[in-house]
Amino acid sequence: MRLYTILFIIMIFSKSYSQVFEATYRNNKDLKSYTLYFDTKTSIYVLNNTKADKSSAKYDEDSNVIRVKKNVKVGKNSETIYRPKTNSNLVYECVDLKEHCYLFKDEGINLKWKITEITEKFGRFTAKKATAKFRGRNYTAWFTEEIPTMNGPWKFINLPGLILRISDDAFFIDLELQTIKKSSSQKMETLIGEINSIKEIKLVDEHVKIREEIVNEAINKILSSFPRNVKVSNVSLKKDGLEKCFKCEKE
Amino acid sequence: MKKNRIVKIAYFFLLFLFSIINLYSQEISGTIKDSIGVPISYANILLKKSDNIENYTYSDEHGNYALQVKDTGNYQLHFSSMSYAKKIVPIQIIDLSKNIERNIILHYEAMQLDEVIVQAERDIIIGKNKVTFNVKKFLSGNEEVAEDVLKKLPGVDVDSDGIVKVNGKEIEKLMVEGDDFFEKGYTILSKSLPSEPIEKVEILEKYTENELLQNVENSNKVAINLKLKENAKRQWFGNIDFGIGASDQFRYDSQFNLMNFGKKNKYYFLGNTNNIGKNATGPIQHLIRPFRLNKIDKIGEDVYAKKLIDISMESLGFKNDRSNFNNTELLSLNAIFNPSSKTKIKILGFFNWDENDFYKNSFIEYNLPDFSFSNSEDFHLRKKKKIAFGKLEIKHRISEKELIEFISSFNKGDFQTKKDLIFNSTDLIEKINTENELFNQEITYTNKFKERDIFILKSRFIYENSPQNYWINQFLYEDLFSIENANNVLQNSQNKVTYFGLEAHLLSKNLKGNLFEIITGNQFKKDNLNSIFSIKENDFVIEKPFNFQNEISYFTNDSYLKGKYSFKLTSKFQITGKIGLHQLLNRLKNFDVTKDQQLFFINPNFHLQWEFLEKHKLSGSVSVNTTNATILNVYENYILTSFRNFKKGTNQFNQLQKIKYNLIYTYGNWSENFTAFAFLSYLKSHDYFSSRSQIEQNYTLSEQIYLNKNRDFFIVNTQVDRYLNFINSRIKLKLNYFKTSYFNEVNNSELRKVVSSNYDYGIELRSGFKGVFNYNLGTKWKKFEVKSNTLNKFTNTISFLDLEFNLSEKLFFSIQNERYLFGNLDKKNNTYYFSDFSATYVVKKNKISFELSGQNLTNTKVYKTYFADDNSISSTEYRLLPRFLLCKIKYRF
Repeated sequence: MRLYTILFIIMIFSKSYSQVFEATYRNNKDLKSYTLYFDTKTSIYVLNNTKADKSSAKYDEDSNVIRVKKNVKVGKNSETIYRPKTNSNLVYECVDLKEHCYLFKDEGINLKWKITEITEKFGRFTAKKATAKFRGRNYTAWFTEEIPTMNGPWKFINLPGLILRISDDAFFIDLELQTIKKSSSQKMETLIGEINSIKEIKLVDEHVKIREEIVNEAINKILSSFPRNVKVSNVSLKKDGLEKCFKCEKE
Repeated sequence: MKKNRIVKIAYFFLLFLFSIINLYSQEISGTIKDSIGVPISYANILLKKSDNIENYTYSDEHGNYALQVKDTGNYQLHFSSMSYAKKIVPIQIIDLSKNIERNIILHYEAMQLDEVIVQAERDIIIGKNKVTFNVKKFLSGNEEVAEDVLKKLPGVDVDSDGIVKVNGKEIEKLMVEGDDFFEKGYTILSKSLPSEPIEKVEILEKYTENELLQNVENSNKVAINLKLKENAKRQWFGNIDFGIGASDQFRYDSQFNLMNFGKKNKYYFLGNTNNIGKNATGPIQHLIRPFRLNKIDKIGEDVYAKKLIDISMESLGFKNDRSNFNNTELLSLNAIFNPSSKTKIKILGFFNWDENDFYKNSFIEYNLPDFSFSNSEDFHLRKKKKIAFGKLEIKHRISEKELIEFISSFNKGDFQTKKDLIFNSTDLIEKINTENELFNQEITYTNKFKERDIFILKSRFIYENSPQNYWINQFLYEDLFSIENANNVLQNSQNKVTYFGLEAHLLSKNLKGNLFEIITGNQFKKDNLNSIFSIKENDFVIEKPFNFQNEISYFTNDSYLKGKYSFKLTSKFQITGKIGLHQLLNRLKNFDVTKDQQLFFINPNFHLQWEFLEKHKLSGSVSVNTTNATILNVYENYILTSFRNFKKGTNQFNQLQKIKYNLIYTYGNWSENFTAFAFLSYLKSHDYFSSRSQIEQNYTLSEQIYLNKNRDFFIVNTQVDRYLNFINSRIKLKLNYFKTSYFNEVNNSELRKVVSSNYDYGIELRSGFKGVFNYNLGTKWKKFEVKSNTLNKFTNTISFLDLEFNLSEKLFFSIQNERYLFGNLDKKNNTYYFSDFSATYVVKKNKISFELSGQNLTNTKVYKTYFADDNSISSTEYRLLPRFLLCKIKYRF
């Protein structure tokens, strides 16, 4: 009996020790905002709600013009990266394609950071520069040891401190820390719960294929939804993604 | 258990392997625990030499860690973990062959982080509702025009048609130093403005026309403002389209845009000429009358003097371009000056010359309660039009919170119409000369006295005069007037309106977004309507029949107090309530007889919007409205409105009351397989103006009568879309229905009921292929029915097939085919086919392209339609522009 109570107390203690933080990042490339929730054991990275227009085709009677808004950037709307265990390189990527969220298992995050001696002041934090190659892009990260976590935004993990800014040399992505503050574990657990509720898990390599299929279908749908006399010239598909290839670093 | 053992063996094996590989490096290992002996997992361990990180690792679930060291020397081990105090342990490595063990205890210490905002000076400055980019850092040097600059900016997208979007939302306008000429037509600018002078780009979110209304007016619009360099060099730029064609005669369609944009002053010239049936004022319509959805800073928008005689040149149910034989020229000159940072002056002006010919041949059968007859009208109409328009806008920022705006506009028009008519084998010539003079002056003062409270004072003066002379070279009205020797008639008429309005408007929005408005004002309007109808023998006036002369002054003064409140119950449920208290003073002066009316009435209005579930959206509104009779309802005596029509009003004061119900339902959006849309509107008038007509072969006398009866008006529009996966196409079903019933009187029929209904249903199929080819085809059946003492009904069918080919990025081709079938016409003449095509070849994108287009390829010469109303059925033939081919070069400089 006595033993049980002691165990119980320890459990409470160890629980109370794990503080949850939330760091918000802005991608300077598209000004979207993301939040990274993390404690010592896990982390989850989510896209904050944006107010982008839904695609629509509307007939404006007064000017006798059809105004077409089209947003076929499927899959960019909700991206969540869940890292269940901080010491492993396994993450789950949840991409909101079509109506439901697809969960992809990504085990191959093999980031080999080169930490340099260069430091720079980022507000009240001192940051060190580190570089890495990852899936076809060259990244430069600034991280601070003052927040000792090896979690990071998106799949940028395993640096010995929180990333304050990270960008690639082609300026495809440029994430910059906006704020960092204490958070509630409840918030993080709700988000993790949502991910855990997804039953079907696919491998990350299938991601590209599925996304392409869905984009194609979306284009077919939007093109066919236009009223008469709406002419569509040039439908181009940008296949540019953050991850250019999946096996390319293993050379 | 067994599995565990295998893992353990593998682990040791790996460890063994590692120790071989790292034969010449030393390992530091140990366990990290907290003060009560619980292992700390995932803690950071950094091996540092002075300040450089030599190596780093993390502890595992059991708090164990291991680190390699490659060189000898003095190091520090940094142990840190969130929620623990950092510990630094110095370590000296002398011998690389010996492993070192360091077990560490970290003490709990909550991390002090009360929201830290990391701010750094960047090329992007994010303010409230405004993002500014210093463009220099984003450019690569090969940008030529503004569009190329916008493309490079974060969050900004420019698609292949030049549509600029910010985070997926299309921009409202593209300004230069806060100035704009083009509104939604901004591609004229973005594709031509040289990129060199652009220094900063501002993205304005929640954009409102009047910047003080931001945060109060609900807006989710985005606009872009380009800021130019201080010493930017001015240069002329623009584009020119030049098209010539072959047909029965020389055909052309050309236009140019020429601009010069400096930091302070901006000039824009536009010219346009064509004889292929196109309306030339289209591109500058928004400059003349800017379209605003909620013009909360405007009054008197519905005040104008209507022309009494207006011979339509429109062909029913058909593209007007096809029957418009024209020769149009337009020149527009516009400028903006900024004499100081607080003052902005905008000047707009245009001249439009137009010559139109229009040919129409109709046969009308009248079926009246007492007798029947038929008329034939065959005419050629020639219209010459000259319009000059000028507008001056001055905006002055008195202070941070105050804005005053002056707008003066002036319009002068001269229209000369000649109609050669063969009316039942009588030759007739009609001449109509119309002039139009308009002067408009607005002064608006806006004061934002609190963050979300705004006061607007609006005043406006309008004067418009439309005199008309109408002459007919024959006297057709022997049955109406027993006058001998009469051989022509003349009517001189004038419709003049003077308006003055003053309104104070207070808007207040609370934090939840609920908007409260109070409006009080006074609007005065004076209409003068004079008409003199003379029956003549050659140049001598024989008689001016008494009942055919008007000299009316109609004064209305409306003093009102209105209140409006929008209340958001939840984000998906909104109620808006409006109430208007009106004190109305009417005065009617008919020659020398004066009548007065005083009246108080209340206009309530109620609107609720409700969205439910995810994909359903339902919104509805109910409104009650009282409107005062206009000048066109109150004049006493007959006015000639066309060669065989005389009309008159009631000579009474009347206010009409109606209730309107609207319901809109939508399901789904384009990305779904199934979408539906329905719109229902029901309008109930408690009283209305109807007509009492006396129809004879050569003339019709028609007077408006006030009926205190109910009139119904019902409209339904529905559309259902279904995406078909197996053919990548969408099928669309449409059903529209309209019905109205009312009473009127014809040839002493007593009041009779007229029920008019029409419905149309159609099916369409449109492909959504990504490749070279796309199609769109469909058919629509339109059924009309009018029931009075007789029943008239007919069905018309319109079908189309459009094909598009995008052969490459440089070559496009499209062809449109249409088929019209008029059910009640004889089989020989009831079907018409049309085919139009266009082909574009882009030589250099955004620079030079060629276009070849052909209209009316089937070379259909005439086109016949069928129409029915409560008294007659008619078939009408229109002459069409013959087949032509047009070759166009589009060049941008």
